[in-house]
Amino acid sequence: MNKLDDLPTEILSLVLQYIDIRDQTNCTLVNKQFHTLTNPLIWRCLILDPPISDKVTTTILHSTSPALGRHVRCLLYFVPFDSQAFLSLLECLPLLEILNVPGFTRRNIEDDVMQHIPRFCPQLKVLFLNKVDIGQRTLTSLAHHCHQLNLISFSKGCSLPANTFAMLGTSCPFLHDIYVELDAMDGINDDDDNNEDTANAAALDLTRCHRLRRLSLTKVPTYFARHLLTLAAAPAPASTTGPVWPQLVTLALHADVDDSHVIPFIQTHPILKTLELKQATTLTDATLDAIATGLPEITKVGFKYSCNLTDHGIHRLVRRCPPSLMLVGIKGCRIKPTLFANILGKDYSYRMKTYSTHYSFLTYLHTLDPLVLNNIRQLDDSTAAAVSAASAAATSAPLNNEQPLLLQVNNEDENGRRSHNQHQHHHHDDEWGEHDDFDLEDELEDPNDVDEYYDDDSESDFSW
Amino acid sequence: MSNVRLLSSDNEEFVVQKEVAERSVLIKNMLEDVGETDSAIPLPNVTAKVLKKVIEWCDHHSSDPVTTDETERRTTDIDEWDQKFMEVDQETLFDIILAANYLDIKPLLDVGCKTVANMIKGKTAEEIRKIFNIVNDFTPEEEAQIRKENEWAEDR
Repeated sequence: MNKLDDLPTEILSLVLQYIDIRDQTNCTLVNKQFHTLTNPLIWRCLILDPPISDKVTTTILHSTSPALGRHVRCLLYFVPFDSQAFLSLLECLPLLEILNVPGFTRRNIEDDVMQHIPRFCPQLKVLFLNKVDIGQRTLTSLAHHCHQLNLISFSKGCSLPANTFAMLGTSCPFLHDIYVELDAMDGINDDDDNNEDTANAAALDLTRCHRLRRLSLTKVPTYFARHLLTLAAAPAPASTTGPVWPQLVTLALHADVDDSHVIPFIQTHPILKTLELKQATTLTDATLDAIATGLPEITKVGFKYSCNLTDHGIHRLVRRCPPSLMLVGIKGCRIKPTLFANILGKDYSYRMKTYSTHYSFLTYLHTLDPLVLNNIRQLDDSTAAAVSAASAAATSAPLNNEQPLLLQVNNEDENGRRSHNQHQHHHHDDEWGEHDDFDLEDELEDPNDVDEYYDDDSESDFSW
Repeated sequence: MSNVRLLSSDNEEFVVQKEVAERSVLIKNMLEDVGETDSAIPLPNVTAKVLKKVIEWCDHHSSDPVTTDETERRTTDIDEWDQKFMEVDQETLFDIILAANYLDIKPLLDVGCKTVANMIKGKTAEEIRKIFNIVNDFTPEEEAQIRKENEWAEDR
């Protein structure tokens, strides 16, 4: 009779991938063949949290033949950070490909700890680190050992040397996703006069990473961001045509760039799917028009604190963009719902934000979701024009009052008052959870408080 | 609609619609290589009994869209028809899996593997051995060692 262990190994291991880790654990005890096939699956992805971390670490450190650490490809380290324990564990994981350290630490992880990781784990492809100070030693070590890197994400405040992109750009030919939330970039964020040169050099280095698919830069200096976009809009030096980043689908930039930087960039990067510009305070509708005409594959756009955008511009954007556009974020852009009054649909109030002032309530839109976008698209042209004209008359007058009113709002918030529709908003949070990545939190805007945004559709690239 | 002739390892001939036969990537590639042919395609690794089952499956699924998304294919549950189809003795089940592998019919291979996986789910090692008639070749010490090493995973 045919038996399960007579099946070819490849088929048996296929079967074993369809069961969860508890069933896999039982399978390791069936017989030696099952053990050989299942054990690597159990150890492949380690999610370490306090209840098991000590036991698992000890087991790995003491295993000799086979060394269990060699099975581990992915490590999520949800453990209060202890550099010695962390490093002795990593030393046993020579084939690690994905490392995620959320960093439960008050102080940043320092360079002299970080520098050992690349040597221990030269196969690293994906590196998520929060709160790290990366210095020359770590950078050199990364460039020397980790040529497979394809994603780096340094968030929650980290510092990087100014030559980071130069080093990684040349040594890591597969690097295509860069997410950086800077606290400091040596020689760039200081007040020194020479900074601008250093920043421009760093921007130039970044434009040489031609394989970039996703780029997210938070808390970068204005002149760095402006220079970067300008360089990126110029044709790549190596080729006479084509964009600097021909594969770039996501750009998230939190810096005060304006139309003159953004529009040429849009025009040279037609395959962008996600564009997020926060704190680009002086952007106008011209950028929206450039998106509508220049980005046929756009799916998400997000702006924050771009107060010169108008409801007409947004309206036009939605009507001109292809139906692939499914989310428009306009937090803090002071877009009034007037123009959209009849199309927002019932129960839309949670997509707005009401600011109470001493004199009145001001209500602004902050997100247009697929439902609203569809409603706007389905308006016939004459209705759309009528709506547009009516609202132009209604909104043109009181513009001058807005500045002082909003300032007052800010003052009030500091005194601890809450916005009116808070309860309602939270009620809907779960229902709309799928859009959470376009941050919908309900606090009053403060341009100095940058909250990060993460484009999660990158996930599929490194799940296996 | 043109037909294709398939020859099982025990020399039984099956006449199948081309579209149905081409659910098998192996056969599809063969047909592309040889072009229009009148001669039967020999399948030396598949008996008539199994081939008949495989053709039945391909016929039912002949108009399915081809799913290229690995994750989607792996996470979808087995549909009712496939569950019924897979209610066969173990030997036949394994033969179907082997044939699906040889003929390169990924969706059928998936259904087969998921069916076996469902037989394993929730079972202890001893129960798994019984179901599949497997001999335990561990010493008690080895077994204890593995139990200890993987203890953490039981609470996951």
